[in-house]
Formats: sequence, C-alpha cells, structure tokens
Amino acid sequence: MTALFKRCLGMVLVLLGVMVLIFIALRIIPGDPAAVLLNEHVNEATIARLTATMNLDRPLPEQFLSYLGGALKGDLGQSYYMRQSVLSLILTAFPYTLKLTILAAAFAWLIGIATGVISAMHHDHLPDYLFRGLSMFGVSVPVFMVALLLQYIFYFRLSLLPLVYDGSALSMILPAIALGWNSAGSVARLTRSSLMEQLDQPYLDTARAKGLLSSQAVLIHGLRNAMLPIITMMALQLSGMLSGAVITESVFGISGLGRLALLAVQTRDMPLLQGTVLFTAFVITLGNIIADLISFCLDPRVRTKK
Amino acid sequence: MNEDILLELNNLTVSLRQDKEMIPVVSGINMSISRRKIVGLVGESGCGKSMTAKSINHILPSIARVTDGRILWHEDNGSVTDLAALSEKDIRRRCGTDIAMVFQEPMSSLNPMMCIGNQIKEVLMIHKLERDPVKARQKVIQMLADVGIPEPELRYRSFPHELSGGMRQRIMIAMAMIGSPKLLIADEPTTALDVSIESQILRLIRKMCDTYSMSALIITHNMGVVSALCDYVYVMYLGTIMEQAPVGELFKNPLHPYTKGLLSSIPKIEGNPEFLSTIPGTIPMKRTTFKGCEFCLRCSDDIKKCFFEKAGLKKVNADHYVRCHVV
Amino acid sequence: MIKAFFQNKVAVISGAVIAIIFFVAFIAPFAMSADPMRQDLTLRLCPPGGVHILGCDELGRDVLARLLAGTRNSLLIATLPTALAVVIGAVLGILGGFYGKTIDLFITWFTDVTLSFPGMLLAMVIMYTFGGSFLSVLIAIVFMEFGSIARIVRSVTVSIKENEYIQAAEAMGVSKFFIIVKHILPNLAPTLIVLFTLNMPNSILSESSLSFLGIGIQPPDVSLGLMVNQSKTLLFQMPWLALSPSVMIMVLVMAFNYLGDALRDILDPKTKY
Repeated sequence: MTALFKRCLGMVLVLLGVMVLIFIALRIIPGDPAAVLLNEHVNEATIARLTATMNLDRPLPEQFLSYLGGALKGDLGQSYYMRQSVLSLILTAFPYTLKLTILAAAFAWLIGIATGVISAMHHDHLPDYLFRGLSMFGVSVPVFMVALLLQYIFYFRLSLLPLVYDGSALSMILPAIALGWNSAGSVARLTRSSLMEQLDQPYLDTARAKGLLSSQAVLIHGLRNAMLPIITMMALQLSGMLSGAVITESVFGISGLGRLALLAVQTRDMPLLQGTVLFTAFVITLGNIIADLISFCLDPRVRTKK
Repeated sequence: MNEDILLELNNLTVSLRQDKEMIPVVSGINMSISRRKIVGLVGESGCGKSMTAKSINHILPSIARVTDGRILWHEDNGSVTDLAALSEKDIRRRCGTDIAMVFQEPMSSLNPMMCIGNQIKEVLMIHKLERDPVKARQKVIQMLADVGIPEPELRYRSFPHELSGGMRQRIMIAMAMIGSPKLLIADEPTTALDVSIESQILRLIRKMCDTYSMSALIITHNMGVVSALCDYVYVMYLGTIMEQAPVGELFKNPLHPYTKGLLSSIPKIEGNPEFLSTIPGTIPMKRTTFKGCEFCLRCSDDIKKCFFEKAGLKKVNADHYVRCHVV
Repeated sequence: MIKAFFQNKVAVISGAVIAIIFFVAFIAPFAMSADPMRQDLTLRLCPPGGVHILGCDELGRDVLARLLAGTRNSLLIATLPTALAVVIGAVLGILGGFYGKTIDLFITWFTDVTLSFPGMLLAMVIMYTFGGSFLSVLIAIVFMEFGSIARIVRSVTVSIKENEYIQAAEAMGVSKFFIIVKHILPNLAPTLIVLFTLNMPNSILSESSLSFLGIGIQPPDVSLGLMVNQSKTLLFQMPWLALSPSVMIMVLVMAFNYLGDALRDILDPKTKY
C-alpha cells in the first residue's frame, strides 16, 4: 500500500512539474503577451480586457498560483477564440479522442499480440519472416501516410468506407486503423521478443510433460509470463497514441483533443492550448497508474514484495 | 531381465542439429525398465542422460531429434506401443497419466505466475480426470498433504517464489503423482537441493513408487542417490551404456574403469580428507565419430585395441553386462 | 566489432541504404541542374516521366529536385536534435545514475515530467511559443527524445557503477569526474550509439508529422512532411505527388530501424530498450 501511495505522490509531483513547464513555456514569448496572443489587428480595449481576465499584468508566480488554484477547482480558464470555458471544450472533445484511442488500441493489441505470438512460435520460419517484415513496416510508416493510404484505398478506390468521420461507427474504422498501425507494429515486435525469451524456460517442458501440446503450453503458460512487459509498454504507448491522434483527427476531421490543440496553436489560443496539454498529461499519468495497478495484480512476485 | 517389462529403449539414437549436421548425443542405447522397479541412469553431465529421458515423453529441445530406434511401451493388456513413433497429440495424452516427470531445477520448472495448486490441478483438467473443480481442488490438497506439504489448504494458493527449494521439489512430485502415472522420470531430482533435503526427497520418491506401484527412471550423476534409491543401474558415458547391473552387484563388483572411477569419486567418511579420487580429463567437446572405445582417452587400463575397435556388451552374469575390452 | 558489423547482412544493407541516401541528397545541389524552388507554371502538375522523372507539383516545381532538397532538410533536422538529445540524455542519465540521491531524484522527476505529455503536444507548445521554423522543430524533437534516453542511460550507468573495478577506483580515491570519463563513458558508448540510431527514425517521423500538420517547417522551405502536406489536397487526382516523399520517409525510417536493431545485436545485446 505504501508503494502505491508513493507512486501517487510521485504522480502528483510530476503533474505539478508539467504545469510549471507548460506555464513557463507559454509565457517566455517576448513582448506583451496579450498583444502576441491576439496577433496584431486588435484594438487596445480587447488587449486590456484579455490582460485583466488572464491576470497577465501580475507577476508570474502569482499568475501561476491563481492558475493552479483554478485548475484544482476544475477551472482551466476561458478560451479566447471560442469564448467558452476551456474545461467544457475539453470535455466535449475528449470522448471522441477516447473512442478513437480505445479502438486503435484494441486494433493494435489484437493484431500485434496475435502476429507476435505466431512469429515467436514459428521463429526463423516463413510466417516469422513475413510478420517481422510487416511489423517493421508497421513501426516505420508515418501515421499520416497510413491515414492517406487508407483513404485512398478504401474511399477512393473501393468506395467501401467514408472519407472522414461523420459520427457513424463505420467512419471510425479507418481512423482507428491509421492510429493503431504503428502500435500494432511495436506490440508485435515486443510480443515476439518477450515470448521468445520464455520459449526455452524449463516450465514449458513441465507443461508439456503434464500433457499440454507445445502450442498450448506456449499460449497458456508462456504468454502469461510474457505479458508483463507488454502491459508496461501499452501504458507507454498511450502517450504515443495521443500524439498520433493529433494527426489522425486532423486527417479524418474528428473534433477530438488533438484537433482542439491544433486549433489552439493556429488561433493562438493560449488558455486552450495550456488546458489541453495539461489534461492530456493528466490522462497519461492516470494511464501509467492503471498500468502499474494491472501489473501489480498480475505479478505475484511484486504482490508479495509490497 | 524378467518378463514384467514396462518400458524398453531399443537402439535409441538422439541427435543434435549443429550447423545443418546431425550429431548423435545418444548412440543406440538399449535399456529396459521393469514394473515397480527403480532404474538409475548414471553419468557425468553432458553425456546424454537428460536427452535419453526427454526423448521418452517427447520434450526434447527443438534442435534435438530421435533419429533411430524405438521406445517400446508395454501396455497393461500386453500390447506394445512405440512411443517414438507417436504423434504429438498421442504422446501428450500419455504425459501426466502414464509418464510423469520431475525436473532438476524446481524453481524454473514451475510457472512463476501461477499458484501451485492450479498448476497441479491443471494435470487433472487436461486429462479430464476430474471435471468438478471443487473435487479436483480436494484431490490436489490431498496430494499436497501426501508429499508432505504442511498446511496444504493454505499452500494451495502459494506461488513458487514463496516456497523453499525442497518444498518446490515436493510440489513437482505432487504434480507428477496426481495423474497416478505408471512411470516417473526424475531428471537430477536432488541436484539443486541442499544435502539435508536430498534424503527426504529421495525417501519421498521411494514411498511414492511403493504406494502407487510405479516404476521410476532416476537420472543422476550421484552414486549416492543410486545406492539409496535404485534397484538397477545403467552407467552411461558419451551416449553409450558402459555397464549395467543390479545396484548391489555394481557396488560390490564394478568392472568398467569408468564405473570404478565414479564409485571411487564418492568421498568416504573414513578416507583421507586430503585425497579425493577423480577421473582424469573431461568429456571431449567435439562429438566426432571415433572408431575406438569412447572412454579410452581417459581410461587408466587402456590397451591398444581400445583405440581402434568398439567393445561389445559382454555378459558377466545373469543381470550384469559390461562394455570393455579389458574385462 | 567492425568485422561483426560487416558479417551482419541487415546492418550492411541498411547502412548502405542510409549512406547512399545521405550522399545523393547532399551531392544533389551540385550535380543537378533542376532547382527545387524554380517555378514554371507551364509545367503545373505534369505527370512523372521525361525530363521531370517524378513530375512537377502544383507550382510547376520539379518533384525530384524538391524530394532531394526535402530529404536533405529532413535528415539535417533529424540528425542534429537526435545528437543533441543523446548528449543531454547521456549527461542527465550519467549524473542521475552515478551520483544518486537528490540529484537522481530531481533528474528522474524532470524526465518523468517531459515524458508525461505526448510528444506532439509538447511540440505544439514550442511551436506556439517560437513559431514554425527549423529551430523550433529542433527544440521540439530534443524535448521529445532526451527523457527516454536519460532513463535508459541512467539504468545502464547504475549497472556499470556496480562493477567492482569502479568501486575499487572509488575506494582508492580516484576523482568522480575521472571515473566517469575513464570508466563509465567507454562502457556506455555502445548504448549511446544504438540509442542514437534508434532515435533517428523517431526524429524523422516527428519532423515529418509536424510539417505535415503545418506547424513544422514552413514554406518556402522544403521538407518531406511538408511535401506530403502540400500534395494531400490532390491526393485522389495526383497520388504520385504524395507517393515519393512518403516512400522516402518510409525507406529512411526503416533503414534506421533495421540498422539500430542490428547495431544493438552487435554492440549491446544485454541492455533492453
């Protein structure tokens, strides 16, 4: 329990660090921040109003404390461009990103683990060479290229699936594959190497001596032991996926977090960008804690050590 | 040899693939294991003992293969099956129920991620010996008690890393016994254990063989284990059986220089502590085909013939055979 | 070591591919007559073939010339920050791993912070502050990568430090700086080389993704990602426009990935990445 508590405390410290870092990074712009924020063509009154609402005239530490206080209460400020509370914008966008990420992760893990297992079980034979090549291709193509390629094939050539996201489940297929493609490749590579490490473990001989077929022994006993690093990587991939989501969402026109952030950069909407980044960091931190909990529950060795 | 034979190895040859070449590590051995008898297979590490054992239940590593010979299993009804020719599916049906195995290193031979009770129960589930999970659990707990695990109900949910080495080996034995097999193969069952635990485990194996009227094949390099446990012994060197005899006979009248060497390597309480007899040299690394006696390079009694001709198996008396030119 | 490299087919082939691409991309401005910037509206969107092997884009610029210029920029913008990230990561990792205690805690915390946001969003924050330019892409990529490098270097340093000869050197009163330079760095070198090679593809992907989104390299500069971005509106009519830069990115990334894998097997098989 103390380990878990320490972990949570560490997470809080990390989140605090994230806040400080973003806060500083967004405010080292030379010149009057409000004027930069709003670009050139606005009048004095608007600048004054913005400066007042965002406390831009106060010293930095004070600004930070008031932002921190607001964030703790769930107030991430007002979006300048959209004229809405940042949190409500984020909460409207987040479900799309969540749906996209979950579907992409499901695709990546299903394909990745399946091909990785087949690769490991037939290592140095034809299926292995095939899937190794495929997974290398998987990790090496940029997300936007997969996205454009999928659009070209499934929309333009085959007219099977919609070009952009239109709210239907069908239109979510291409974005999910595009986003999951890279991860599928790395999951396959890790599954292969992690399972290969287990293949010469004596307990697989025991399992066979008990009467399990080699394939059953690998799937029941080997995979169970190979899963721990894979789960850890899944948590790390969450971050990569949210990165990829920015591109996927922009190609397929999904109004999720990534697009919100992109919009914030393009419209120079600092509160929105700040809020989005902070929220994403929070989600990733949460994902890390969940992955820790899962491996804590799965690994009996860690469980007794607590 | 008596008629009541359970398993017979007939000219068994096991080869390892090395750089696209098949190199024999077990070269045409003949062995037989009688019902309710404990048979020892003795030799230095690397001489092919484990390969022999693993070929019986088809758990050879992927680079090894049975290239010749038969493994004959005598069924209760008198018919004979060649295990070496069975498909994987058919041999697995026998593993755990007809043939069970105990390994050298109990820690790595148990799945670290699974509680020991379920690992034992798995045998019952695979072979559908018990369909009811509650009853299966009861059986497992009973078996845990039989192999001497204190508080078996509590231990059911333990993980391998929570147990001592001796306990783990008891778990392995419980796992082997739960399917009430006819043959137990124990591959160096006490090598990884403390000397103080060794005799307990040996006694347990003996007890299990008696209670379940089971045969056993004990693989070891330790002559002490052989004298404590076995009825009949095969001495193996470089994939070849050098001498075979009942235990009493072998210890009283060892004939092959290698057997003599092995026996004199046992430290004796009353012996000179400064001096421990060894067999000079080591097992040759490169397994090339050599037309002379396998042991001649390390032998103290060798004659010229030994370098040019393999010795045949000579019958000394009823159950005692030796492969040596000098005898 | 060198012999092992030349015996490894994957290493030799991927290394050769990278070397050839580098050579061609950097020699091109001197050897080719076509100027990547010259517009010729009569050649607007002329398809591949003839003088313009890969065709011309919507402003009538030669795609091959642009492809080579883009490759050169993309390689530059991947190599510099990767090297920088390895240096920063190595310094932080060695400090954390070697000195332990408070310094380690602080450095671990700092790397955790940089690793807890998605690289793309981190890059966006930097783009917001500095605007889209070579420099900001460079800073963004350094920030995306040094954290994970520091983490690995730290764990390798800790394991090197446990060696008895280092403890012996410490016991003899050898200065810490001397130990780091004389013992830790040479042992760390293979890891650093592999880390550099394995981070190169990430840098190439990051740069092209940022430029694709329009927040990286800005026109009139050229980069592979930007070329894909500029051709995506014509994707269905003129797919070949997007094809050549995409394939170039993929070939580069794959070659670096294969090279990195092979180097890891040759130089540093024990460490896990």
